[in-house]
Amino acid sequence: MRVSTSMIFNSGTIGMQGRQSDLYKVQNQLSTGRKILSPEDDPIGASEVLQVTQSKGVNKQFLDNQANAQSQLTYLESTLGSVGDALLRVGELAKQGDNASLNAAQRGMIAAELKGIQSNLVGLANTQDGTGQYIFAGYKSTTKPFTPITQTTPPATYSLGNTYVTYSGDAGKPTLSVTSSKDMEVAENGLDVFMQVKDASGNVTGRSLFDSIQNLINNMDGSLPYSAATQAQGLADVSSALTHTLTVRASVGARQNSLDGLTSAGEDVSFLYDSRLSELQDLDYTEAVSRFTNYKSQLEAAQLTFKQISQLSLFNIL
Amino acid sequence: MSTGIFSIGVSGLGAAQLGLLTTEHNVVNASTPGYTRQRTVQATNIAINTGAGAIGQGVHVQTIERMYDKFLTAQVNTAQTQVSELDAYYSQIKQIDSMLADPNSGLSPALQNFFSGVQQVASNPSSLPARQSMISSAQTLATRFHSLDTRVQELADQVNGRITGAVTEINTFASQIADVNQRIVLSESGNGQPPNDLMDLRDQLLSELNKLIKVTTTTNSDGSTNVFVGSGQQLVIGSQVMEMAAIPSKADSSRVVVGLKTVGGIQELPESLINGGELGGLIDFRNESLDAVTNELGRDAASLALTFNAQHGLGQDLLGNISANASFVGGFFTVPDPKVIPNASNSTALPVGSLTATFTAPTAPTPPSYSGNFYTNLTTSNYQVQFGAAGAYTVTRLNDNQTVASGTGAGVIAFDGVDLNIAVVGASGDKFVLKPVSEAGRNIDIDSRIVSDPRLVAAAAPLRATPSQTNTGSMTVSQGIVGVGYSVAGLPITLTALAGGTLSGAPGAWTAVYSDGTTNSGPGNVALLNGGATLSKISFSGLSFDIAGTPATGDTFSLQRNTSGVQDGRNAVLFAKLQTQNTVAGGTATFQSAYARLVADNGIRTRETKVKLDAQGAVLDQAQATRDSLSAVNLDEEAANMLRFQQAYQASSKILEIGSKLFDTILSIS
Repeated sequence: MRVSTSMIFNSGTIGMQGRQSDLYKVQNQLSTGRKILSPEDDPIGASEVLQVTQSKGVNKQFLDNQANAQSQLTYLESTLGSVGDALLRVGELAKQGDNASLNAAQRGMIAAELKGIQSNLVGLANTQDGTGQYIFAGYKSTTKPFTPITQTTPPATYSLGNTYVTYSGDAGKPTLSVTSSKDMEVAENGLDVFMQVKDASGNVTGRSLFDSIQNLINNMDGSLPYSAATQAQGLADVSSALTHTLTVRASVGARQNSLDGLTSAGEDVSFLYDSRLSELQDLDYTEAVSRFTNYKSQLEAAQLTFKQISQLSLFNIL
Repeated sequence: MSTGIFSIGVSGLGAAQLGLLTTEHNVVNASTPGYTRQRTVQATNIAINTGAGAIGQGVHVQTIERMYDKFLTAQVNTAQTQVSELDAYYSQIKQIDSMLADPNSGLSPALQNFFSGVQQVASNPSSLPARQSMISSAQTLATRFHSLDTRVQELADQVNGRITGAVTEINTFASQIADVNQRIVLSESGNGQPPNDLMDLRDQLLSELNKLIKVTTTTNSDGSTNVFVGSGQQLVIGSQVMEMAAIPSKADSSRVVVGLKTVGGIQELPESLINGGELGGLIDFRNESLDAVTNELGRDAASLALTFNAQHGLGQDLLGNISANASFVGGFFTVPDPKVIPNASNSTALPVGSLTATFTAPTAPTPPSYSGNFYTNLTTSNYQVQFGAAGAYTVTRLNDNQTVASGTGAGVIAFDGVDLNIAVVGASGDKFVLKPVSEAGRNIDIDSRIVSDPRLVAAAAPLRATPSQTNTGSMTVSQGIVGVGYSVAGLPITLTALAGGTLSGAPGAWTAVYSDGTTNSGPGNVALLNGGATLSKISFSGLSFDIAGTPATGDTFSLQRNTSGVQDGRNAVLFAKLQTQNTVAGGTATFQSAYARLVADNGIRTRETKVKLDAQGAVLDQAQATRDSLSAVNLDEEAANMLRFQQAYQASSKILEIGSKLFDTILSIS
C-alpha cells in the first residue's frame, strides 16, 4: 500500500486525539467519583438513578412524617398519662368519700380536692401544643374545645343527664401519610377521649368524664344531699373513664409501636436505596485507575512513535 | 543526423524540466486541502522510419495527470456528509443531555423539594410558615421548569441561527462551484488539457458543501458539474446557481426552514428532503429531540398543574372558603392554554379566536368511593388541524401521523387531553398547528393570589362528620371525601338511626355501598343491612362517607361544613400522594417517571448518535486514507522523483554536450 505523508500525520494525530479523549473522560470520572458523567454514558442507569433518588426522597419524607407523627403521639400519650393519673386520684377520693361515717365537712374537703383535679383535667383537655394548637379539638384546633358551664346556682336535682362541660371541637382526627399506603391518625379528638366515655365492655356510658366527676363533687360538697347510690354511680363512672382513657392510651401506644417498626424498616430501605445509587453511580476506582494507566501508556507510545516516524524524511539525508 | 542529437537532447531536457516542475508543485502543495498529486505522462516522439529501422526521435510529455479516482472521492464525500450530520446532531443533543440529568439543575430535586413542602403543610395545616414554605418550593419548581425550558429554547434559537448560517455558506459554495465550472469549461475548450488545480478546487468545494448538506453531482460533456440536493432539486447547473434561503416556516414562524429560490418565489423544501451534512443534522435534531424535550417538559408541567389544581379545587382554605365561595382560589398553579397557530399560507386569515384550545379537565376519581387519583391524557405530540370542503376537518397527531379526531362545522372536539374549540371553520385546505404543551414549561406559575396569601392553600377538606355526644351505639362515620362537582348546598344533614335498621336523613339520590360490594340507591331511608352485608359507604351530591359499626336507635350524626377546621390537612395529604401516583400519560406514569423516561430517551439518543458518529468517523478515516493512499503527496517519493528528473536533466544535458563535441570534431577535420 502506498502511504502518503498526510496519512502518516493524520493517523498520528487521530490516534493521539483518541487517547487524549479517553484520558479526559477517565480523568473526569476519577475527579468526580461518578461513573455516569452524563446520561449518554448509561441512559438506563441514569434514568434509574432519577427514579431511585425520588424513591429515596419519598422514603426520607415518610421518615420525616413518621418522626413528626411520633412526636405528636408522644405528646398525646404523655397528656393521656396525666389524665389517667388524675383519674386514679379521683377514684381514690371517691372511694374515701364513699363512707357513711364521714361528716359533711370531711366530704367538703374531699370535694375541694376533686374540684382542683376537675379543673386540672379541663386544663389537660385544653392542652395546646408547641405552636398553640389545641390537641383535643379535632380539626378546629384554634378553638378552645372544653368550656365548663359556670353554674350560678347548684343544680336543683341530681340527674345523670346533667352536663357541666361543653365540647366545641369536632370529630376530626388529623392524619399523616406515614408510608405510601398508610395514613395514620396522629391526634385524638376530645369527643372520643373525654365526652363519649365507654365502659369496660365498650358501651357508651352517656356521661362525659367531667360530668362524672362533677356528679361526685355535687354529691359531696353539700350542694345536693349526700347519696350513697350517687356516690357508687360516680365511682363506677370514674372507673369507666379510667378504663376508657387507658384504652385510648393503648391505641396511641400501639400507633407509636407501629411507627417504630415503620421507621426502622424505612431506615433499612433507605440504606438499600443508598447502596443501589452507589452501584449505579459510583466509580470503581481500581478499574478506573487501571484504565487511566492503560490509556496513558498508549498515548505515550503514540507520541513516541509519531515523533520518530515524523522525523523520517529523505530530504534530511539528500 | 546531428540535428537529431540536439532535438532528442532538447526533448529530454524539456520532459525532465516538466517532471521537476510537477514534482515541485507536488512538494509545495503537500498540505493544500483537496490537492491531488500530479505526475507527467511521458511518451516517445514519432520515430522516423529509415532503411536502417525506425529511429527514435526523443520524448514528449503527453499530459500532466491527477492521481484521482472519482469513486474514492465520492466515498469520502458520502462518509463526510454523514459525519457532519451526526456531528451537528451530537453537538446539540449533548447539551440537552448534560442539562437534564445534572443532579443540581435537573427537574428532580425541585420536584422532590416541592412535595416535601406539601408534606409540611399536610403535617401542620394551620401553620403559616409551613404554607409559605410550600409556596416557595412551588415557585422554585416553576422557576426550574422555566430555566430548563429557556435552555431548550436557546438551543432552538441556536438551531435557527445555525440553519441560517449553513444556508448562507451553501449559497457561497454553490456560487463558487458555478464560477469554477465556468473557468474549467473555458480552460478545457482552450487547449484540451485538464485544468488539474481547478478540478481539485471544485472537488474541494463539493466536499465542503457536503459537510453542510448531502449533494449529488453529474458531469456534463463540457467538463462542468451539476449539483443537486434532496431528491434532485437543482443547486448548480453549469454556471447557473439556484440559491437556497433560510425562511420562517409557514406552519410555525418560530422555526427557520430551508427554501429554494425559484422564479415563482421561495419554495419551502420539505424537511424530509434535507439529508446529511450540518443542515440535515440540525433539522433531525429539531424534529426528533428538541420538540420531544420541550413537549415532555411541557407535559410534565401541564400535568402537574392540572392534577394539582383539580385536587386543590376540592379543598378548603384556611379562611374556610370552598369552591362554592367566590373568594376561593381553585387553581394553585397557572398554565397557559394550548397554542393554535394558523399556517401563513392559509387562504384567508380567520379572525382571532376562531380556533382556540383548552386543556380537558383531568380524569377524576369516580363516585361512590372517589378512590384513585387525577390524571391527564396529554401526549408529547403537536397536532395539525386541516380543513376540507364545507367545514370538514381532521386532526392529525404529528408524532405518529394518526388521525385523532375529525368532524364538520363549528363546535368543541376533545382528544388526547385537549379540547379544541372551533368557532369559525377555515376554508378548504387551511391548516393550523396545535401545540398543547409547548409553552407550559416556560409559563407554569403559582396563582398570584395564593403567593400573596398563603392561607388560600386549600389544605383542608370541605366537610366533616360529627357524632352526637349522646350516641350510644358503635357506628362511626368517616370525616368524608368529596369528588369533582360536589355540592354542600344541602348541608348540614343529620343521619338518624331509626328502629328497624335504617338511617334517615340521606338526601335524594344517595348511593349506599355494602360490605360485599353490593349497592343500593335512594331516595328513602338507607338500610343498614343488605342481605347479610353491612353498610360501608353512603355517597350523595359528590360527597362520600365511610360507615362502620352498628348504631343504637336514636343515634345521630351531623354531616356538615368543616367550619374552623384549621388543623385539617386531609386535602394536603392527597396533594402529597400525587407525587407517587400515576398522573401523566393517561395514568401510566408519575411526574418523576415521565421525566426519567425523557432523560433515558434523550440519553439513549445521545449515545446512539455518539456510537454512529464514532463508527462513521472510522469509515471516513478509512475512506480518507484510501483516497490519500492514491492521491496525496508522499514527500519521500517526491524527493526520489526529484533525483530522478535531476539525473534525467543532467543526462539530456550530457547528450547536448556530446552532440556539440561531435560537431566540433567534424569541424576540426576540415
